[in-house]
Formats: sequence, C-alpha cells, structure tokens
Amino acid sequence: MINSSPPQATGTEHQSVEAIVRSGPRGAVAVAGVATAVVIALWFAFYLLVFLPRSA
Amino acid sequence: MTAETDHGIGEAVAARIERRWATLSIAIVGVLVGMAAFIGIHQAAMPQGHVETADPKTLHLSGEFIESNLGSAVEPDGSVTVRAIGQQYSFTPQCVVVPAETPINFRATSADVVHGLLIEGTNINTMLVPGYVSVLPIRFKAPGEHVMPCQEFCGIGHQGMWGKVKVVDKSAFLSMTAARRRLTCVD
Repeated sequence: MINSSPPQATGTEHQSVEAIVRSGPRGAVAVAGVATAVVIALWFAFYLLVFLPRSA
Repeated sequence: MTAETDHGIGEAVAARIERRWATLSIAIVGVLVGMAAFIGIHQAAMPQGHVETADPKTLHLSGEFIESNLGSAVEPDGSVTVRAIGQQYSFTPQCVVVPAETPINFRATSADVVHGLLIEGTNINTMLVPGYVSVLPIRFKAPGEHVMPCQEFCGIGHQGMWGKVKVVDKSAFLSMTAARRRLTCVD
C-alpha cells in the first residue's frame, strides 16, 4: 500500500533514541564548528594577508 | 527512568547546545564588528568622512578640476595631491604619476555619469559620482605600474575606459616637479 502507516517504534527503540538525544548533538556541533572555523579563518587570512598589505 | 523524563532531558540538552551556539555566534559577530571599528580607527580603510561637491556643469571652467590643475601636485607638507576626472570614456589624466613612499591624496570626480575608480593591487576602489568629490588617501610602497580601470558600467564604451598609475622613485618625482607645476605621465 502506498499510504501505509509508518511502523510504530517499540519501547526499546524509544529508549535508544532518547539515549542518543540525551547524549547531545555532538556530530552536528562538530560539522557546524569546523564549517564556521573555516569561514572565520579565511576571513582573517584575507584580512591579514591581502587587505592590510594593500592599504595605505 | 520513565520515557517522559528521558524526553525532558533530551530537550534540555538540545536547548543548552542551542544557547551555547547562539552565544558563540554573537561573539563572532562582536569580533567582526570590532575589527571593522579597528580598521576605521587605524585607517586601514576609511570611509570618506565628509561630503565635498563640485558642479559637473562648470568643472572645466572653474574650481580645482580645471584642465590645467589636473595631475599630481606637491603640497607644502610634502604629501602629493592627485586630481583627476572620469568622463565617458576616459580618465583625465590618462596616466597618473606619483612618488613611492609618500602620502598621496586622490581627489576625483565625474564630468558626466557615474564612473568607478579602482587601482589594481591597492584597496582604492570607489565610485566617481557627478557632483561629488571622491577623496582617497593612499601610499605606494614601491615604484611600479598599476592599471586603473573604470569598474562601474558607464555606457557603451565602458570596456575601453582604462587609466594607469605610474609610481616612480621619490627623488625622480621631485626632480620632475621642478619642471612642471602639475605632473602626469601622458606623453
């Protein structure tokens, strides 16, 4: 069936999901942290190595 | 531990991480705003602090932008003032000559439409708006040549509107000033 109801999580699955949520979004923090660090590092690199040497 | 309590702890963890991330984001914005203020205070890049006007209808008749006053002039304090005009489709003077290791003040305006003034290899990049004088401080570290294209689309001949800045040794520049009141490198 196309619109079949989604499988219901059992009690054990609920518990393991809650355990994962409780341990915090470490992966997301790592990805966002690395991405932000790369952007900020590039900004400072351009500022210090390109912009300032070209200024008056 | 019940499922409801587990859910509450998970929510609290997510809220705490979000708060920390928001704090970090605000700190980054604060650092960047602080850098912008630092740049301005130390004049690494200074937006023009005052408005100066020049009537484009009478530019060629009176005032500082008459043809005989265009080019580089040595000021009593040893700095150099460069006056230039942008018009469809050239700069006057077409070739600007300036000394190295000297504070230079660019003063430029437009005689017709909006033009752009950009000097390659420097932070000089501004618009020349008819009616207003663009003032830009600069200092060249070494002799050399820099192209100066118009970077604001100004009409059908825009792509041909290129000037040049020739930076020469300070002593060579001063010896050139002995012969002429206003210097250019247009032959």
